[in-house]
Amino acid sequence: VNQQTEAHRVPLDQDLVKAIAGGDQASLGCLYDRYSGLVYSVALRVLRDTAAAEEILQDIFMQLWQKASQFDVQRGSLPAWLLVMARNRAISRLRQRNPTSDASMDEASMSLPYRLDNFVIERELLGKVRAAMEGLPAAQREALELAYFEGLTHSEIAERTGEPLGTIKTRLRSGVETLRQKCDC
Amino acid sequence: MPVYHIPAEDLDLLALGALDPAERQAMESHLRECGECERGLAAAQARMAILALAAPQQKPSPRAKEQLMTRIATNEPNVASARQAGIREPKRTAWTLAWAGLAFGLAVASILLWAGNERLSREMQGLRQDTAQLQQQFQQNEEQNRALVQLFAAQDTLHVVLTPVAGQQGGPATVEYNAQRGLLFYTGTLPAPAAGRSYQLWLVPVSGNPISAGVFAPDSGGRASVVLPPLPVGVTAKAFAVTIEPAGGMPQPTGPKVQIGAVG
Repeated sequence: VNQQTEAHRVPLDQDLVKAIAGGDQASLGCLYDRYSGLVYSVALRVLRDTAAAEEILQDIFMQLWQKASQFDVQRGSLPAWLLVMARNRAISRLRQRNPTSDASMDEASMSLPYRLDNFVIERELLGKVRAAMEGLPAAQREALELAYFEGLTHSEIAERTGEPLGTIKTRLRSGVETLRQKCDC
Repeated sequence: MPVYHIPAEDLDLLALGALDPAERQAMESHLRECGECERGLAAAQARMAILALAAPQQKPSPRAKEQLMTRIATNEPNVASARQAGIREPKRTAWTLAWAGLAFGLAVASILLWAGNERLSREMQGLRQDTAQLQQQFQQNEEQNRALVQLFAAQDTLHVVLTPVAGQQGGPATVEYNAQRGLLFYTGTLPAPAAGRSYQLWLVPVSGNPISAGVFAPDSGGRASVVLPPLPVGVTAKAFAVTIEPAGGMPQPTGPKVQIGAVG
């Protein structure tokens, strides 16, 4: 009941995005307060540089400000888009690449299987993902983190760790499968 | 429409960004043609997005928000935002000019349409023929994409690195080979062969003579590939090699080896 009450009290993402498309700066500030921690944490984990992570954070919210009218909240989840953007841009910067793999606003159709616009649910999910990661064998966790937070491919992870390519593929598949089961997604 | 679909676990790895370029290209080629797999990829991206939550949670400095809000305050709203916000353009002179422009534009468009009609009729005939050819090409590409996805996704596919032989020019190469399916994909870097010569890729079986896996030439950038050459099924490989042969290739290797890689 408390969660429902809180969910009703806070403005929904879709309403804030609509207001941003209409030029409402306060709504952008509200979404920033809601998601800046998540976006910044991903960028910082990848780049390990607070100034660079803050630049990416600002650029992503700037893009949301400029292109909000193209974002269809019925089709996609805003936090999923923000997280994908944060990770892609940070990795592009880390590896000195152009961010060609960014999801554009009109292509955003990712439906995160969770709501993150509710503090209680967000904390619960954070705990669930972390527990799932910590429950993985160390080698699987390392392979997943190298792929996700450093943007390395199978072959690059094999080269970095000195393990056979087949072993790395198996570890990644098993790690992803375990996460899917533990996080119900 | 494609009937083959990429398994969800492979879409997860694609969304994770863990696939090597050749694997990624093969899947992306299929995704361009398959709406169902494209939707599956979006779901996989969302699933993988939760990995971001494994990052230790940190808060940006208050200065970051101040800078963002300053940037926004000085940024003019784009046209789409202005329209959605209901910003009107009520100036009478602007409407008058707009109507005049529209009328002129319609007149020009009518003339251009009339002049272009006859040309379009001729082009239609040509386009019908092109469409039939494209459909045939599409089916062939789809079959190739499907085979490549199977090759890269299969657990029993071998990944073999070929290294340049001492004294020969060229860079490394890789071969993806699946004996049970008789599928092979080679990619590497080599200089242009001498006039009248070709490169030839060989599958060296555990027993018996080398089997030709195709004759090829690198492009102007030195990039070379052999995609799904016809091979017998079920041949266990112990090595792969590239040799220089007379143009068009030979039934058995006769020239010097330039790249070689043993199956680990």
